[in-house]
Amino acid sequence: MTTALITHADCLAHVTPAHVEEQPARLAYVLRALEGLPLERHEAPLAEEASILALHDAAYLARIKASIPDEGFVLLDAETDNETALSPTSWPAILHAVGAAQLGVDLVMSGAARNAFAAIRPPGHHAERALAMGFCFFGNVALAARHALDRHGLSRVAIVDFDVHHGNGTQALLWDEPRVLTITSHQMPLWPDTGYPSETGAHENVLNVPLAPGTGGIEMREVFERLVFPRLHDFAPELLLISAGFDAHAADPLADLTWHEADYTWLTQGLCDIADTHCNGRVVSTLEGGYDLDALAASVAAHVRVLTERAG
Amino acid sequence: MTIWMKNVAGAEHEMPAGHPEQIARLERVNAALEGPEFSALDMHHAPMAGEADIMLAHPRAYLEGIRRVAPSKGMISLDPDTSMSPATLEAALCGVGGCIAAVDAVMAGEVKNAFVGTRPPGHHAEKTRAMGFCLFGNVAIAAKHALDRLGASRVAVVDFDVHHGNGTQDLLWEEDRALFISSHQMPLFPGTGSASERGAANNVMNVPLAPGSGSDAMREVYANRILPRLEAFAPDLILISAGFDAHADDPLANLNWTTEDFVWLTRKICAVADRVCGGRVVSSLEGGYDLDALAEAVAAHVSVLMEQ
Repeated sequence: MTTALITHADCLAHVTPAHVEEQPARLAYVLRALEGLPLERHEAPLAEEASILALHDAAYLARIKASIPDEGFVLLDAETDNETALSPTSWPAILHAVGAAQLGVDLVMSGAARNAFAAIRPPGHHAERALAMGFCFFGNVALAARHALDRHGLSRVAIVDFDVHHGNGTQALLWDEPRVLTITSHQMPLWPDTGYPSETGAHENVLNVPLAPGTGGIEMREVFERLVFPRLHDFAPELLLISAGFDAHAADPLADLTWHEADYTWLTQGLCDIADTHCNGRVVSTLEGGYDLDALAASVAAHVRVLTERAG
Repeated sequence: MTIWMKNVAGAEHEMPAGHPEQIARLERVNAALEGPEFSALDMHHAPMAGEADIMLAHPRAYLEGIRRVAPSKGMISLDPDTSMSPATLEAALCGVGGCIAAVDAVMAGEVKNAFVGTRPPGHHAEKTRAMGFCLFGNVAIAAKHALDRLGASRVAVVDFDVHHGNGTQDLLWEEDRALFISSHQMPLFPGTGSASERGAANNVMNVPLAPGSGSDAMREVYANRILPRLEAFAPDLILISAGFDAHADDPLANLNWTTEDFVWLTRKICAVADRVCGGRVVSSLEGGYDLDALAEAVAAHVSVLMEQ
């Protein structure tokens, strides 16, 4: 069995305003860091627009598509967000990002790959039903969960989001979905200021694990062992999806947690153990944030190396 | 002798809180150039450019549009990166005026070279589009001024800012008397600047550099490709779009140049200028967002200009 690496050159071509940290070089660093690992490369397909409508409004999709500029940048909602911009080359990148996570699900469900990593941008976990924010337009991972339910007939999909920011979009998109357990750990207080433990979903299907600024790897491990892993075991997922942001790293400029590469190794091993127990190791991990490029590259390499070890 | 064009309004041009293109950038540059080792600089206050100056490269309607939206208080946003506060229009016009006055002095032989310490920067401003913190194409306008008004036959622009100078490229795309050379990280904002973009008269040279590349890659492309092309063009004047955001410490990009690299590069460009145009160089500040790296690199860059 193999680990699939799913990406697309169009995701490098999605340019962002000069002051925005979510920039194309992030993906260039990630892909360079993965060279040399035993990965089976796949080109991300364009997601079908109909599949996006499972969780996003048709009018919202149409508005994004119609807003793609001929040149320069466009903000979808300039009043509330100065960082989530569309460029002339953004639309294919956005569709490939959704399609990459969906293909990851197809590959692990069919047994073509043991697990998968979708190296894409723009990220997705902040996008709500009709709201682009935090560099995100569509919920890549939430849509992959729906894809697993709708196309593969699963009834229990777990999402673990260890990006340093709360996955407000994933939570909102799957709030009413009892077949999906969404678990997000994140720094609090921090943008977007949601993700309290009291937010538990319409069916007790959401678990928020806020971490105080300065929380390091040792405390993180304790919290995951005490709260996250038992909950995942109880849920017994048929597929485990990861929203893999690496901005909890100590070097990240946008947040104040102090995790290191070894912490991502530990965390990925723990998640793979759960997947081994419950779902034959089926894990699809999709890139979210991470803004110190060297830390991002080293952390992604640590994360994906574990996936390849489990596939071998 | 080296002129320092100081833009007073440039240090009053406010951007939104937390924006990397901040007043402190120019304050640090000014503080560096006020040090005793720079006492030989010939400091002038940058004059405001007039309408006819802007129209060397931008349509009148664009200038009028910018004037119309310029706020008397508060701040307005022109694009996701680019805002105007009450001092912005004057600062931008002084940036253009400073470049023009510096070109006048250098072309007249009053001084050998000049540095324009200005903000907002200019190299992202297209004919009818403010973007990337820029309103007017300071350096492209200065090139047009030298060509159209001072009788220069050929003017070269070397842009070593880490971002592609899409604005300068747009303003000079069809100007066969100008050679525009830009080295920049790719991929990165603004997404343009691939080697295949060559200008209407093969008068544009784009040299993209991979994220993470450093001194060796920079010196290789300049020594083997850019400087020979620059020298072969035999310009009457060399303009530099001097951005210092390719520095390893810069927060907006991912090249790994050192202050010593900016010294090397400035020396090389000045050496070409010595051989082809009597050393005539006008350098204008573009980007550079790590305040310590910016101040140090500008000081090193201007020191080399003063050595000439």
